[in-house]
Amino acid sequence: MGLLRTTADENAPYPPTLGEATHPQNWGAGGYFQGSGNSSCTTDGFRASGHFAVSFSPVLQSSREGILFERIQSWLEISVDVSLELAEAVSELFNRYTQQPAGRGGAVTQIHGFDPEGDEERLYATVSAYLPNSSTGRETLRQVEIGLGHLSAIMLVPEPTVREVAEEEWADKWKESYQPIQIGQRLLIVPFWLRETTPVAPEQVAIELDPGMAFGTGLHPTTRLALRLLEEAVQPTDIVLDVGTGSGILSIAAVKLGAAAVLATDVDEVSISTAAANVRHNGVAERVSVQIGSLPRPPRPFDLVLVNILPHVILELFANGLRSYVGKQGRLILSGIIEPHLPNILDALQQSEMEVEISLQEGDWIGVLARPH
Amino acid sequence: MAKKKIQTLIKLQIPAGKATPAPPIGPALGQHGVNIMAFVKDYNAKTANMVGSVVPVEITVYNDRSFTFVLKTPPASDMLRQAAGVEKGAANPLTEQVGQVTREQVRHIAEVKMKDLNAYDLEAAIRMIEGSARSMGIEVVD
Repeated sequence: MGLLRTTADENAPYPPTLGEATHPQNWGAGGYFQGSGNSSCTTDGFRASGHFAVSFSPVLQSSREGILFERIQSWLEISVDVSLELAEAVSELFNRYTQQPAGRGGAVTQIHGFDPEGDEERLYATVSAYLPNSSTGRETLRQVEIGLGHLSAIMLVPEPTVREVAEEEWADKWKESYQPIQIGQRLLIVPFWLRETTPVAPEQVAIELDPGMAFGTGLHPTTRLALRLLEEAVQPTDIVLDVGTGSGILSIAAVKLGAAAVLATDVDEVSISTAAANVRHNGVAERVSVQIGSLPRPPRPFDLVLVNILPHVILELFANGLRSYVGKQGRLILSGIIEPHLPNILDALQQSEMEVEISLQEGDWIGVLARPH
Repeated sequence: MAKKKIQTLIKLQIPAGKATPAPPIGPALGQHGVNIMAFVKDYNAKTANMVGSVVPVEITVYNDRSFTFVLKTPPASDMLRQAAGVEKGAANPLTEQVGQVTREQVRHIAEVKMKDLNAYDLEAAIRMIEGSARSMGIEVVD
């Protein structure tokens, strides 16, 4: 920890501006769903000031019931209701025009009509595809409609329906069933839009969250395991690194459980803006810095390192020197480990001269707390 | 105990390890109230060792918005394209033929796909694969 504090420049702007990553105008024509993939860290790493003061560019606006941006992207949905026998042919046709080379996009087939109480199940399929609501998208749509016409000459296909859909129509609907969740001994995850109606007991630590389209709702076993381990591991004055922060849930929990400061990173720009918004709304922006990227460069030791991603990413991080970020007295929490991959993770820990102190499992998922030997 | 009812069955083809909440995954799951990101994380974890291929998935959504999913064999159209040695299907299968497959190849594809098709027997599965071939401008020959 001393290392962090002694390298600080009291007057340096901290963190380096987040504006480019978080401003919606900089999300690019591909829309906010396009993650930045393996984008590298664009900041000059983790620099702590004497007071660990953190300020964010004022780019986040409240909107509707949530705290994220107004999303403007709209799509054209083409759908056709067909028998199960026809579904594959129509789906193939849709894929031909709407699937991108890497296999993204393409058709979705939904089968409806399940009626367990009736004697006969009258199943049918709705085949749909989505195109950007742009001139290119409309041109592709025209080609799909011509293709359906040709297909109709062979097998009768009903007229398709085309409608505009906004992202809000689907992106927010699952929130209707998102309720406060108690995790571990003290943590209570409260959906942001329920914050005024959710009672919080004095001993509880509440995290108000609008996960938007970022990982980390508290609903997934990986997040719950990481939070339970965090509750065990975090100590007052800890300086924490949260790699792959997603919604920011672990970072916020860490400081609310007593950590002194957190550096939260993510390679995905949507996650960065979501995490930054959640950090601000939980009143912990002074102690949590959100930066785009993965492991900050150059490496430096932290008291606690949190990695809740997926096994192959965890192994990549080990290959990129994850071990050097865990201080001598430090702790490492790994979650997102699906059971068949556990041996690889344990090998990586062993090679890094670390040992597992606590291991928790929920369904297929495992989370571990490890320390240096 | 009340049994969960199936609300819908969703079939998608997704590049292994690369699911995102973009369409069609987002709208397909979101409209049923399913937590999209939970599915994305589960799918990517379970297909991480198959990166490079398109892995179809069948997601069962229940009336309480919970879901389960199973991974499937590659799409019939992919197998037909490979069998016929063509890159893509015909734009107009009525006037254009892009390639040929033998009945034996169709039977083989039907056998592989049998467990994933809504077919009662192999003959019905073969008819479905033949239909897919026809709709792509691939001729079935003896």
